Amino acid sequence: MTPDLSAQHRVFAAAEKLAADRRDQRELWSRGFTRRRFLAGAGMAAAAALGSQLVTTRYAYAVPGTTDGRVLVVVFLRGGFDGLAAVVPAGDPDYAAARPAIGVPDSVLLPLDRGFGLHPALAPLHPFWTSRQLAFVHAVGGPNISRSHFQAQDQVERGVDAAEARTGWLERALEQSGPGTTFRATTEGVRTPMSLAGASGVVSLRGVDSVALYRKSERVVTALRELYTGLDLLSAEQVPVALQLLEEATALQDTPYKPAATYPEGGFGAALSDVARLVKSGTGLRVATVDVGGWDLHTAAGSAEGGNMTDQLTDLGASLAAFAQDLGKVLGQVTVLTMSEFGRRVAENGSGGTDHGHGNAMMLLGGSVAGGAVYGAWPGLGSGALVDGDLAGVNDYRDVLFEVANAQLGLGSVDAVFPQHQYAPLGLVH
Amino acid sequence: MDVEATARPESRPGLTRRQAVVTLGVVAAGSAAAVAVVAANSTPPAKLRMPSSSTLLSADLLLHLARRASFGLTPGLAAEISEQGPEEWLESQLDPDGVDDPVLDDLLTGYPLIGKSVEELRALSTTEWRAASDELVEATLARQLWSRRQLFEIMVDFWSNHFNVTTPLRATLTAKPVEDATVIRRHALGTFENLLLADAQSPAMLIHLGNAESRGDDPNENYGRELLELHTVGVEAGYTEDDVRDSAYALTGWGVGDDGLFAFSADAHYTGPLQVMSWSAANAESADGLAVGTDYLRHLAYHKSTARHLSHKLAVRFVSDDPPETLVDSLAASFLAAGTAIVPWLRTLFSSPEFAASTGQKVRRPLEDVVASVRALGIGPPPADRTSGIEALLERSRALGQAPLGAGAPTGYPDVEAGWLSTSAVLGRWNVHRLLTTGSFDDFDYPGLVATVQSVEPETQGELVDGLCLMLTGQTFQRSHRRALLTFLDADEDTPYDEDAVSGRLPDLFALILDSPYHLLR
Repeated sequence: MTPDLSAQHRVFAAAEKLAADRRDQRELWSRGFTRRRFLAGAGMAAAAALGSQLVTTRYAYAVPGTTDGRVLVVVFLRGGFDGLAAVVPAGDPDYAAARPAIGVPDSVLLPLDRGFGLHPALAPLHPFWTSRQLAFVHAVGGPNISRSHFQAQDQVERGVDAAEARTGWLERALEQSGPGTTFRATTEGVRTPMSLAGASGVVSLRGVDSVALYRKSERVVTALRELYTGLDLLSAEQVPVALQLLEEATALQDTPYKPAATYPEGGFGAALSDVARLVKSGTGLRVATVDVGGWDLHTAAGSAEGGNMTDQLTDLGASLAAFAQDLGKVLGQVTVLTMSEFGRRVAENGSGGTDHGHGNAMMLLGGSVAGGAVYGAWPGLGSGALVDGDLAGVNDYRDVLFEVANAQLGLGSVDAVFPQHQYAPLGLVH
Repeated sequence: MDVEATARPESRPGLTRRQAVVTLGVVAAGSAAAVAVVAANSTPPAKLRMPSSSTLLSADLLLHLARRASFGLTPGLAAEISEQGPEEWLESQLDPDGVDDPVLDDLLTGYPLIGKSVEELRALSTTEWRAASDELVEATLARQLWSRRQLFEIMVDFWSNHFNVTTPLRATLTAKPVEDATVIRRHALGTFENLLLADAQSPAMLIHLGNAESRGDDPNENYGRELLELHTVGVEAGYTEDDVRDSAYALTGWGVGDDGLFAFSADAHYTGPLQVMSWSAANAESADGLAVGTDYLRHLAYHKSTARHLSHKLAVRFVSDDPPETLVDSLAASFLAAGTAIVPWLRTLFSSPEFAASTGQKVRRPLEDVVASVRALGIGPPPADRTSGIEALLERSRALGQAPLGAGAPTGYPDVEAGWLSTSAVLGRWNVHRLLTTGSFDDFDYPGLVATVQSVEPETQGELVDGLCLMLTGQTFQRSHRRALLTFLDADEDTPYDEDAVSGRLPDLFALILDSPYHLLR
């Protein structure tokens, strides 16, 4: 393809601006916007050259044939998602026997492929399966994922053993994808997740409209900046980012905005609605993270007709469907993936719930996804196939993360994101 | 990093200006109050060492102690520690029953449900059940803000977080307030052994982590797992999934009766040999289930891994995010030597050279920032019948991600700086500072910014800035930060103080001091 000269011209101009921004940022560092001391542990963290992580205030223009302008949305289902409730092996006698009270009966499942069926509470997502924008990977697991919430979340959000690196997988992915705008990496929520915890310039917010400083004045902002200059303190690094966010969010607030879909009430829908706003407003968002809690259903998960699991899945499905509808054509640039720390035990427990397990299902929705398929080897639920009573995690979560993140962010090197992992793509993306 | 050597913060030995603005009327009753110690706590009083300075914070024993053993300096607290002497003050804090607390006692009359028994609460309507949990959360905040038993409240917070039962939750609306009074508060400065045993029989915990429904023929292993991972030995102890299963089996039958109280049900208890790491039991008769479970919990309470796990956690609370191994070792030894008694453990901590060397190594979490800000400004509580301001402040801390007792996961809230990095929290904290300096929380007892400035008696703008920094953070700021505040006032150091010129800027000036790293660090 012959490059469009005007596009090339724009790219050169953008590159010059980026270089200038990076010079400014270096100067900022030298004045005390300091390097992280806490996370600089093992070799990889030290190798995370900060220069390329710096946040610019200008957009990188979309380069044709690249991943520029694409967005990765990572939804973390905290507490241990029950993949066997969402994506059900229909007609499997082992499943029915293991879950007499909480199992989803075949009669209510929505058809997927390879004999799997979708929980009816996720029905709003089924049209995206039909339009090949929705896919699943089942029996996902990985090494050193324990059945402890804390340890397993820590493991999958880092994506490497603690001895190798203390950085998060998204932090390393961003490092590969290069600099970006203030909103480049955005967390919807009050705390930055482990996957991004060490990255510079991560913005966290609870909706663009909530970003404010009371009694804001130039004079106060100047004083705040000076009070936090020259400190070797992780918290101090948040200050210039927060002030930049304040400035840009205020500008966004001045532009009237209305979502193009109705989201369910509640935190998850509100968070996704805000992500859609950032995408549509051209903020340069590349990675967004959203957390959804409430999945640790040891007790009273309920049945497909109603109960806690149905409620949880209803909110999940309706919110994601609203997000996809809200984005419309722009969904082509955006890919959502869901992940969790571990799956649930195959057999239900004495409290009508499930205990901590291992193998799990991940959901993929959006532009890059080769949808309409359930991916991954399926080990089955026969007693010989289970590992300590759990679905075997025969498909490595890092293969899924890398394949999708690479499609959205253009990462190139697997080693830089998941070192010492033998990457085996599943063919999830176009 | 460049630190202007001449601009090191000064340590001011005399806190006379501060004493002039004592607003809470909590000047010490006198240091002569004898400290009664129970037998388990009869180790010698803590011997405090002169602390180090840090890049920003001065070397000052009073300030270091106040930042760590209280939720933040108040004008009254500084006077109190100063008059009593730091070591005597610390000993009195370790015997909270001996500390009278009239202001708080009065305020707590506004929360009548938190002292009630399970029986009394269950006789009320379900609306009042919810109110009981809401009262507990608000009262927890109120106690952190205004109780004089500050170290006790810190340990209540520590153990509540350790044995986290997310509050409010529908299943434990009445059980949690009772647990707070009869388990956490009762044993917060007692022994860990008693605390663990009481917690394992508390309906709030048994319901929250599903043990109440765990049966020998169909166990729910949630509590059995968290007991090992979170409450006792910690995941580093290296137990297996088989250990987790037997941990759950050992406590099957420990549940809650129809009356809402702890009940052991032999029918639900698993029988058969059990092994969890080095502990084992024949467990042949279901009727022995209470004794077997108790033996198992005692074993865990005294386990070496428990001593290290808890000691590391205590050191993270009081010393640094990455505490020295030497400290963890000596704390673990102290914990076991004193039969898991908590007061001697704390004495070891406060006496340690590692504690003294840790000035400025902790960062206030969002709730701690909110509480310390109210305290620094010398703001007193509202009348007991008008507590909506406390509720509003609670909502603010919830929006910052740290409502009292509100951690969503059994892990509790993280206690390290890296767990709280967030741009929205940065702005959120600053906004709370502004709401406080503009008097936005209804019926709080605000001393008034102008009155506070007048007590400083500044002659120049430089003296104004120094005096306010000293009052709010206990020390003056280094040169560049001092200059930032003077620039904010359009002033030089020697510009004569002009009340008319600054009065409109006082809410922001006070807020900026609270926004600063000198307040952020503890």
